[in-house]
Amino acid sequence: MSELLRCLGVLAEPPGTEAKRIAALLELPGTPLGWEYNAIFLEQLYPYASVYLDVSGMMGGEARDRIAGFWRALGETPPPEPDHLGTLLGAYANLADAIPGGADAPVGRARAAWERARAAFLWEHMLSWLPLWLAKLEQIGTPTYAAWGRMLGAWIKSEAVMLELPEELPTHLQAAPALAAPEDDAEAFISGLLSPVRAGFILTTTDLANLADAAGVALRAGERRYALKALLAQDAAATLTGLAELAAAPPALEGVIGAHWRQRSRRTSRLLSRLAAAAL
Amino acid sequence: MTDLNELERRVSAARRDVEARGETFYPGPSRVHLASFPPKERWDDWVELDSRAWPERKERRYMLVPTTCFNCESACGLLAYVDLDSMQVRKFEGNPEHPGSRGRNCAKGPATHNQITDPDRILYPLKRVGERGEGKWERCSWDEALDDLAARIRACLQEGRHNEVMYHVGRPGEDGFTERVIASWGVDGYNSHTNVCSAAARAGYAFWMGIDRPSPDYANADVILLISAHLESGHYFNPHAQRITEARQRGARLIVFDTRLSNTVTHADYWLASYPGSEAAVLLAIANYLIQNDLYDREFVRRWFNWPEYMAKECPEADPTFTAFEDILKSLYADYTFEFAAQESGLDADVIAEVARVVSAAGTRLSTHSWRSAAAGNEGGWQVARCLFFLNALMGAVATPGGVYPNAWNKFVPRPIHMPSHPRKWNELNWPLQYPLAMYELSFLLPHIMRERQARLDVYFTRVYNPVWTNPDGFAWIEMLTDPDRVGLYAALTPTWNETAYFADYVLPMGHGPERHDIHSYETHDAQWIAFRQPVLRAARQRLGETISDTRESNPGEVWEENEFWIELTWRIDPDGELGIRGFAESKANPGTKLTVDEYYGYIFENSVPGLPEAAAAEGRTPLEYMRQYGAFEIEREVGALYAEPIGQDQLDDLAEDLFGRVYSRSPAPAPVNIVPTGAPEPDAEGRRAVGVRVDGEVLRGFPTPGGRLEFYSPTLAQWGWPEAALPTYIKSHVHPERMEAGQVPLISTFRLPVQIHTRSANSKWLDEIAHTNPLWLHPSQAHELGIATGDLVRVETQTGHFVVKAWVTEGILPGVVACSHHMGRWKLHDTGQRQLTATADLSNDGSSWGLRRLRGAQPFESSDPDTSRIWWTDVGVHQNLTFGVHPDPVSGMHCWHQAVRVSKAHDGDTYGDIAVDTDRSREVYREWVDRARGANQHSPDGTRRPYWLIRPLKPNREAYRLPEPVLRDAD
Repeated sequence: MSELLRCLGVLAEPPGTEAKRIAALLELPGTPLGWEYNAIFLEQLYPYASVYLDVSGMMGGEARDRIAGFWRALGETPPPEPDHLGTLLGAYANLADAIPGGADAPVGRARAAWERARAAFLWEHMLSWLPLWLAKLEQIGTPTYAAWGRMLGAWIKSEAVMLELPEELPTHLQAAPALAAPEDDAEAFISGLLSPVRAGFILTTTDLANLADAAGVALRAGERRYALKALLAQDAAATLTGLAELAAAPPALEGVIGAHWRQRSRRTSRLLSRLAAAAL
Repeated sequence: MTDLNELERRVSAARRDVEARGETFYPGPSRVHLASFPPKERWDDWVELDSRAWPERKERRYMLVPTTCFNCESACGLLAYVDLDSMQVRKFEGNPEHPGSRGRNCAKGPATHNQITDPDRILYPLKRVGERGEGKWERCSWDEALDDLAARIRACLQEGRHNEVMYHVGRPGEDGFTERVIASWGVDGYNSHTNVCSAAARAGYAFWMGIDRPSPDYANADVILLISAHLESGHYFNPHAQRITEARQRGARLIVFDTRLSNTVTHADYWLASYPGSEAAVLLAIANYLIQNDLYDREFVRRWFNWPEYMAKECPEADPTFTAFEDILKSLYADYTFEFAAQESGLDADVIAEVARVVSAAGTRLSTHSWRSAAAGNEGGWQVARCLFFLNALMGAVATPGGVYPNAWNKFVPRPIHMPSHPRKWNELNWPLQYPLAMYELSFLLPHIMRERQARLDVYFTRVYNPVWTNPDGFAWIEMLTDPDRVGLYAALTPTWNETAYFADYVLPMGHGPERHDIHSYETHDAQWIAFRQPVLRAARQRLGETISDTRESNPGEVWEENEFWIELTWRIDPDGELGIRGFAESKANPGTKLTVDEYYGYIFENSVPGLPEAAAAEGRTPLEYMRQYGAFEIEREVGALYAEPIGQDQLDDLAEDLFGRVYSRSPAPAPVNIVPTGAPEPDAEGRRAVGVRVDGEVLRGFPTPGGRLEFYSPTLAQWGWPEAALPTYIKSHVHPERMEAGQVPLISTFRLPVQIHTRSANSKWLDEIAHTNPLWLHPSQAHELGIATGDLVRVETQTGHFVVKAWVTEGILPGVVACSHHMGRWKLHDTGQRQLTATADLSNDGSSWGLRRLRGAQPFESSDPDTSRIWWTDVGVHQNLTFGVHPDPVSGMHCWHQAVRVSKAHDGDTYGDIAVDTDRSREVYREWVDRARGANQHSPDGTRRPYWLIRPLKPNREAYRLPEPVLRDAD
């Protein structure tokens, strides 16, 4: 189903004429609009794997290098943004199409290696973060993009069923350190909260706005770090409590990876609750 | 549950159908992720929270109105956030619809807001009431100034004193409006700043391809070679830097020549810190490597170099074949070995060899660029650009993806509503006989030429120009401006105070970037686009339904814009049309009435920009409304190799062909859609126009050079007195070690501070806070020898005087070279003036001795902007240019900025910022340099002042090109 995957990948890019045609083909509930794309992909759920898998919680870094390394291992030159969701989906579609010797060729060593590469790509670089991301999209997305997300989720599930996937957690998820108590470095603590692979959950601007409303404090317009610092400065206990509640309710994701995210999120929730109690 | 298999089948079928129709199913990735811009469909009513209202969440509604930045020549797109409650601009951000800048800006773009809210800006016309320079002013009306100017200009025109009217522009920021106004007066008085800026590089390119600017396609390059700091400054910094960055992300290699460790160098794969002036030697060593090892594009060279002409004229005994030429080519450059280049440059020969190998591997994806830097610094600097383009020409990397295009093919200048004819006068104050090949006006020599000839300017305008501060030898300018026998009336058209305006008779306030109209188009990549600068408050109010017919209605105070000013002035010079001038300021739609800017631009957008009317109609807008809404329009993308286009049969009537394949035709030339300046090859002896060039039997468009090919050999240079420089060659600079005296070192003064822009950004508080000083870069080895540490005062002695500056000891400069940015050292003599980045100084004069001593630096002050009371810096740098003599390059006319100086510890009594100059000595320096020129009176091959085919702004008619009679007799 590589063609479908390519279409889904197109919708991870800013919508143009072709994207609108594809949305109609997929019978999405609406035409993707520029403002919707901006509001979701540019302001909330950045469509880069590295944001969710890198310890820094930022684009690039080791997480992006890992994906670029996968391309190189396949003998390909990595594109400028190998971890962009659109690029990942397109790359996976190409990989799925590149059956050694063609679809009718007998299964041999090359075919087996290809199967392993495909499974590794899906496991390491897509399943490792995309279900978490899609769950968040379901919460904050517009009807068009939420429907697109459900379709992408369904595709992932069907693909995972088809392939023989590892049983072990991807190494990079295992290796990522969990969020630690702030001690002397509040900045590092805030960075950790904004790093999903450390905190176990995705904190969006919408979450911060909801949190500010619930806590009765003002949301300072600016990037998440800035806004979060402003919330903590105004009412640390209420903010930490709100964050703890958010982390305590992780989405119900499947498999060993889903369990890892849940476990990490709840761990962070406990830490935040302790800090909130101390701040009172 | 979605049936994924069914979806897959449906999508596959749709793809097959779409692609079977030859259409694209999948879009290419836009790659603008995370570049967040308000969607354009919401530009009329965009809501944001007010950052200053925090913690209250207060929404503000804006209308987003596009304009272009005026803080450098790049004209990047800006979006003004016009507050719909106050109808004031709250901030500027990038315009994503602009094809050049693509929504991105450097620090200077948003800082435009500082400029329009500057508490020191000039809001009303001012008239001098004391002596020139005394600092006494009174407010006057626009009518009074216009009538005074118009009466004087009218008298000049009626009395045949056309050459007493001069307009002197720094940053034009537009494509020819004012040039055409001056032409419509019949005056050859257009004077630009180009000979203190880019004339040398222009010469290097023009003698190759008849077009005087390069357009590197950086984004698609595999190897980028810069002789400039294009990642942080230079033309066109922001649009180019973002494309260089894209190429680097793709893996392109970056080679940078720079004596300093610039920001650009920090991104380079190869940093070539060559001795100043040796760049051409290094480039020719690379060329020699390509030639000796047969690594050049042989077919391109055979087809497009004018080697047949070279062989016929310079090697008549040789076999006129390409093979013979290749042998000669090998011998011509054989001496440019890596070792020779190493000796001249101080670089390691192995490094040069490695760079040569990198260049040789680029193929046709070699992007190179030289603009100011070495070309502007050195005598013979124009050959740096010529040698650099030699590499592109050898590799065939000309108008290829990733190569270098002639700028005229990546730029679009639309035909305006009126086109005046060529003036019949030649102004020798701008174009003296000594410099027949100068690319532009010898503007920086004006005070010397005026003095020598006892000449007079009855009306002198400056616009966005500050020659006292910008040019070398600023005291000579003060002498000229304060001499009533030299200058009858001087009007400074400027948004803000500057060192030259203090000596004006009228100071006339003109708008900043968001307060004026202009059209521009620049060669940022392989495409053609236009952008529209507009007064944003006027546009916003018009969008809301108001009728505004004069930009002063929407600008602060009585600030105007030049375009309406020129129309009004032209009308007053010739109120009844008697002089035949008024027609150029007249409406076409309503003859007999004054042209408005709405009609002027509406006409252009409707009639002269292909595709724009259709794009506008698709949105239900007029073309003018479309441009007011979005601010830019892309006319064509991937223009390609125009030189290789075949000439259609309809253009090939009654052909004639010269010995070298230049083809002439009697077919009338089609009216050009794009009137971008290019070379204008001469017709043949029977009046046929040059239509193309025959290459392997086919008539192709070629290049706008005399011969139609790339001029490896420039017959123009050979015929006009410079046969030894007719090929790409290395000229030893005036700061070559052989030409320096003991104890002298080269001073590099041409580099910018990345966030500042010459004289124009001093009223940007954000930029001033970041950059406000210009210390002397000094290598530790040299500092140790002199016993100088960072922060110590040093005296720098030039040919005409000295300045006192602070030292900055750094390993980021080549040992034996010192450097000081020209972007600082602003001053004022009185309380009037811009205060954030100017020192208050005392000017002294005794005969030819001039001095400037700083009384106090910047300091906090109370104003409408509370930030001015928070100014914490006092240092505003040193005005070193005052101490530079003029150095006109004998060929290009470019001022050669590098200085041979002596550096010592400050003397007793020296204070920071001191300047001392002897203008008698500066006149001697002027004569020494002028004596190196080879004048048209001695070397013109055809009795004219200048090759007619060369680009010249405001080109007079052919008759004016004839050498004057007495000179002809002298030459005989």
